[in-house]
Amino acid sequence: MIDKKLYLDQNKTVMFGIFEDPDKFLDAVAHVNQSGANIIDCYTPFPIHGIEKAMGLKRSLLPVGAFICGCLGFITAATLQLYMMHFDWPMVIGNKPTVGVSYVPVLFEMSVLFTAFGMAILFFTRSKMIHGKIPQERVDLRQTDDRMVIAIATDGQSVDKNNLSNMLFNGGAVEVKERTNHGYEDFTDVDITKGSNINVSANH
Amino acid sequence: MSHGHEIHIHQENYKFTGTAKTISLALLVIGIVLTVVGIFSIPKNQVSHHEPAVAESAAHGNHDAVTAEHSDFNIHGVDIAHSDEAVYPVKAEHPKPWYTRVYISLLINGYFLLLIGICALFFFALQYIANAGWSAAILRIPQAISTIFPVGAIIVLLVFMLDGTNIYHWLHYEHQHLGPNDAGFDKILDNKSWFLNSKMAYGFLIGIPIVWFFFGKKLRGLSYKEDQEGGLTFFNKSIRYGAAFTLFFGFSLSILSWVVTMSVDAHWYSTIFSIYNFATGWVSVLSIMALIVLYLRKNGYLGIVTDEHVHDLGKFMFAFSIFWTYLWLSQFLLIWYANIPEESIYYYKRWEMPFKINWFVNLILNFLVPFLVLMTRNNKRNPKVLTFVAICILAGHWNDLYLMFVPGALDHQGGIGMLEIGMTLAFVGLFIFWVLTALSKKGLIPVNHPYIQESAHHDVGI
Repeated sequence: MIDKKLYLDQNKTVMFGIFEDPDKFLDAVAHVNQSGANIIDCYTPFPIHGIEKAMGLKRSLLPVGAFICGCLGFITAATLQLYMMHFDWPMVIGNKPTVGVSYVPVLFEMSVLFTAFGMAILFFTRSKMIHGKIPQERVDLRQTDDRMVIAIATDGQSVDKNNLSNMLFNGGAVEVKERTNHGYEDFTDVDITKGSNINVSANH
Repeated sequence: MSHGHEIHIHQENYKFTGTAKTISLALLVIGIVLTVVGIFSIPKNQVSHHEPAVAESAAHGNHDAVTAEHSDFNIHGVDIAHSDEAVYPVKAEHPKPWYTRVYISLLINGYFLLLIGICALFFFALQYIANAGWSAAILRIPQAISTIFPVGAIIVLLVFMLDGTNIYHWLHYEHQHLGPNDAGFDKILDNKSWFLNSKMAYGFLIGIPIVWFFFGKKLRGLSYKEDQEGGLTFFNKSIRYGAAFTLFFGFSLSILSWVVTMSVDAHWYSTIFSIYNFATGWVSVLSIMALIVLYLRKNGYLGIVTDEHVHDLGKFMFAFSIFWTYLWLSQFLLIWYANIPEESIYYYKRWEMPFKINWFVNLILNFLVPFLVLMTRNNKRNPKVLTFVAICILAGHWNDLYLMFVPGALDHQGGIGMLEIGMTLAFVGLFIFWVLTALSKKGLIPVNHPYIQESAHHDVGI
């Protein structure tokens, strides 16, 4: 799936390298990243270990979100219990103080609950997977089956498209195509390296 | 990036020399010297345990409700003529001879060694039955640690033999052979005597470690043989033996924790106690493994072990510190809320000075420090921070064991002085010497482990 921003902005040009072998894919992604190309995203049918490092992704801020959600749950539980059990209608149960250790289970549970729900909501929001909101399209029909796809932005001034496609083919890509700004139709099957494709294969 | 490629695995041989050896021997010597000085400096009272506890109770507050007039009806400090404590003689105390403190100190450290050693073997077995790949490169460390539990088992057994009657109230009671009509007949202990009797205790204290020993020997042997011969046979066998051991371990450690630790407060019981003991040993052994991995990496060993493995150990320490706290609080909370006298006496004692200090030290070292410090990813991957937290956890769990044994067995006669510190230092020295010697005897990497490549490639992501 490509994301909303990419989908809506028809003026961007994007190159897609399609791979069969996850190991080759991982090496090629690292290579492309090292060459300074702007990787938009990678789409794989299954998780590949180490791909986030290969892509040069920054660490996600989700853990910070988790911490904040947990604190929120803790504060909510503390406020709730303090208000209900101590200020609004003090309830003495078993001659225990109205503020005390008995708060701990609820504090714990609500911290966990808020963290769990918060993480689910944050994760789906961050990965733009909120149901029904974001138009989605497939880069390649087989990307959810047996193909790995790397999407590279190619509309910068300094991008050498031939070099990039050679790099992908050398890395083991079975297909390289580009979506240009001629409209959505141009997105499928535009193989800009038909000539060099054969040469590269011959060199192998 | 070469994720698709094989990493070359070569055997390493750890040599136990230099600073580590010096430090371990120095700790041993300093510890023994401090222990001896400590033994001479603790107050020596010459009481036998048949003497009623009048003087002791009078000196330590009036909650014992013991008066001299009723000393005829007074067994273990309980005024049986005047209270419901005839049914629940929860304040059963009598002054202990001075040497009990030495034995208790031995018992704490011996039991700690036992817990650590057997939890290391459990870790080792668990990696096989869980088909875990990440840990294959560090498996020799729990293997080496697991060689130490017989030492702990022997120490616990010796303490039980030599000073059991002073430490274990029920053992002393058993020797009195009281019938239902005798003064001082204790209904609770009598009901429990089918389990809490010396025959059963000796059976468990001797039998369980022997079975463990053979499991340990077998599992370690399979792993060493795998180094020589290779193949999947040893791995598959390890899974079966590991599963059998784990099944046995669950029951046997529970029984040992009841016999050795919980029965110190013989009238009291807690159904969560055995898993709480396990949590203590488990989080301690994870900390020790992290310390040894960091030490070995610092000295240039364990080439295929990366920050990722250390990170995972850090996560384990973090997670199981919370696990321990969960159990610790669960045990406390129910008893505190229900407030049934025969249950709450356990915490009543621990909520008084000087044990109140240990109580808070427990909470700080075993929960707050690991929880707050190890929360971030960077801290789990930082060797210095991880070392600090691991030492905190180990000190904290020693303190936890102290709090399990001393209030019940010694009460106000206990304390942390030169004796306890010296004894613990000596045991730390012994532990380092023993485990690193065991580590140096065999290759450091299980080179033919089927998951060794997976372990070398282990990656926890960003």
